[in-house]
Amino acid sequence: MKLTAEHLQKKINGKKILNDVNLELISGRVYGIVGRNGSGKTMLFRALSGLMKCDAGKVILDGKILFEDFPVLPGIGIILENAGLYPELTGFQNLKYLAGIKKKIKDDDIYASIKRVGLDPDDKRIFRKYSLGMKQRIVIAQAIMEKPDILFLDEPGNALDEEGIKDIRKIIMEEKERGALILIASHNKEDINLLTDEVYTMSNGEISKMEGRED
Amino acid sequence: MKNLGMLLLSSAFGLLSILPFSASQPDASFGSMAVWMGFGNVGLGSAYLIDFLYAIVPMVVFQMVYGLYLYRHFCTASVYYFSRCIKRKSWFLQETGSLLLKSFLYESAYWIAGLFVLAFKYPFSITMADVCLFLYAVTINVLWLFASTLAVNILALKTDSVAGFGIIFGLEVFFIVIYNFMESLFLYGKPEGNAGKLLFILWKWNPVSQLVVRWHSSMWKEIDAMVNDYQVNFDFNFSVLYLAILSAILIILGISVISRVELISNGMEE
Amino acid sequence: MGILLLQIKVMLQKKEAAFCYFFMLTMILIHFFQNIFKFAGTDISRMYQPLKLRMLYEDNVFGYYVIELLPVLVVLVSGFSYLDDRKSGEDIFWIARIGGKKYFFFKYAASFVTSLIVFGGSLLMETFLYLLSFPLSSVGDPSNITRFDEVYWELISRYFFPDIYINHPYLYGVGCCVAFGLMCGVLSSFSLAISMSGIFRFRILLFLPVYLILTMTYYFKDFLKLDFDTYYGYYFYFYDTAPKNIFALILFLMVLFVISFCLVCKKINKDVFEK
Repeated sequence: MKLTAEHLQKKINGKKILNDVNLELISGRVYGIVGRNGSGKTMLFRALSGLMKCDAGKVILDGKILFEDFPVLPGIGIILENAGLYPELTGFQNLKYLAGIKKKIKDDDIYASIKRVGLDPDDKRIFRKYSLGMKQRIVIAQAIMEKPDILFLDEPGNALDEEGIKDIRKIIMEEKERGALILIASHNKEDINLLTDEVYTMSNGEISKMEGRED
Repeated sequence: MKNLGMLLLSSAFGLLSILPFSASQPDASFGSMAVWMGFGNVGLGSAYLIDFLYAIVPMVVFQMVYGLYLYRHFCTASVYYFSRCIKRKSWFLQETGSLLLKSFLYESAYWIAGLFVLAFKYPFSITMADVCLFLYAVTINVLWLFASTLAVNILALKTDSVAGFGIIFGLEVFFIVIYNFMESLFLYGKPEGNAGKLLFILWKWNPVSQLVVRWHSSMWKEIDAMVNDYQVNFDFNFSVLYLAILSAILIILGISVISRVELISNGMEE
Repeated sequence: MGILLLQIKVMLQKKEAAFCYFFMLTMILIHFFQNIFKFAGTDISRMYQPLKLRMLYEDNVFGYYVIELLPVLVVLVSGFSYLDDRKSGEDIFWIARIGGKKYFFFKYAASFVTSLIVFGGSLLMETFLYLLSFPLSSVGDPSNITRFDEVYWELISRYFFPDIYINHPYLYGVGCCVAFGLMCGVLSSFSLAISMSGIFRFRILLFLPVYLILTMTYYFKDFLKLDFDTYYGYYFYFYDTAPKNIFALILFLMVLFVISFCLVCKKINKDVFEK
């Protein structure tokens, strides 16, 4: 599978958020994006996934164009920084509600994905009562539960303890082995060094490949 | 739980609405109940403005609660929901269908509560004309409720839930307050002259006018005898068509808005 | 005191408060100019008392519109202030500096004062407009009932504090504006207190309690078999002649105040960051 972004441009309130972004990503590899706060990493994720329309440019998946051939990238699992789930539902209820949209998986798969991120699927606490780390874990569980072909992970290690970070790294490597195309945005240098095959740098909406990064 | 609560509330509104009627009428028919519950205690002019605004309370409550029906999906987990929801237009049509069903159930509970009181208090026989009048009244109410609530949802997507509801509620009150100018409309028979004709058009095309059963007319003489207070041409079919077209326009507008909504921020409302 | 003033300043600067204020002013000004054109050239002996030309005198379209929109306006003006703070996380910064008790009580008080300023203030501006633009010596009544008619005095007796009206009609007119602002303040702070209870997740639902309570006032008279009217509009209109009861009004406002005060105290006693 090949995901290509060609000359993506996006302006919001007169400011260039994405400025002629070009990317070529293939499945079975992990790509990292680094950059300062406000450089446009999260907006790039939104643009690539189809949650946001760009002013110019195309996103192409295996020859099919986003917004022409499909409205959102099919088979995508995404986590975005500070995007939460429904506060009045438990973790399991949240994932079950989201799984009900595509109806691809059963309760057992949801159970397994919650356990995989180190949480208790039978926990009766509602999302609002979760700690930040628990929220991050359950959000990762929703991204991986349907075994997506593409994973966009924005700061996956946010608010996680050492154990949690190890668990997430393990999950990312397992997903890579499964053949998923993975794009990670992270400030954590260790994550970038350990997990990624290629690294890109974003600055003021522009992207460039980081030189000297060995595969 | 919320749906059941709303049905119970609607029934309570229906009972509140029919009780003054049952207290004042020594006998009543099915048709006269339909006329009363279809904004039967309102008229033109300032004396009726308060009655109008109280008659519309059940609908305002529904608009407040279900004004979030589609909008809530764009709050909080919007990113995770819509990254899975590939066919947004189909999703929108499905949700509007569901909203129409909820409008129907809410109105049904309101009217059935009234019927319940009627059945206990009055011995009555139902004619075909009564049934048709009842069906017209319910259909008009359902379409009106659906259209106004859908409008709140669509506006909420462009602004937020408060502004969406505020605009629609403000418009409803405005359309009701306009009746203050119309007291003389039928005082001396049918309106004459250009000013009279303009007032008549404003009255007939006012969205709130469609809700008042006894202002309507019908080609069926038995129904017409029960309604048509002002002896004018204001057919029930006109109101049904008016509200159906309004609903269709809102659905088309909604599809356009939904397709263009960009999930740039993480949630419009917590 | 400085914290209270800061909270009031923040609330007044929000677009909701500005919208309510400009909405009131728009209604006032349209009605004012309508009166200017209507009464231009009218002899002073046939003119009405200026303060009885105001928007909230009965049988007036703009007054109706404002009164019927009031359940929404009183919530809009400052009812969402706490929810806004919570969403942005500002409540944490306030509480960290002044403590939860002061934060919640000052916010509650600020909501009351903001509503008083927006509604009472706009009506006071209207009052001064009429005092400046219309002859103060005219004493006619828009009902066209003269002072020589017994009915006139019967209707005056139905005002709250009729003696003040008879002896100091212009002071009474100013008092009406203040009373209106105070009543709106109680309603706004009530809705703010409800928002602190965390019952509603979506902002739109915050309209429901005040809307339902004010709507139900229409039915209190029949349900409780009272000999005075209970519809809220009669108490908000100026110079309304429907049979009313001042003690019922005070009781109603006290009940709302006590409920909202209890809700604020409950919020303070809970973990302040618990949502």
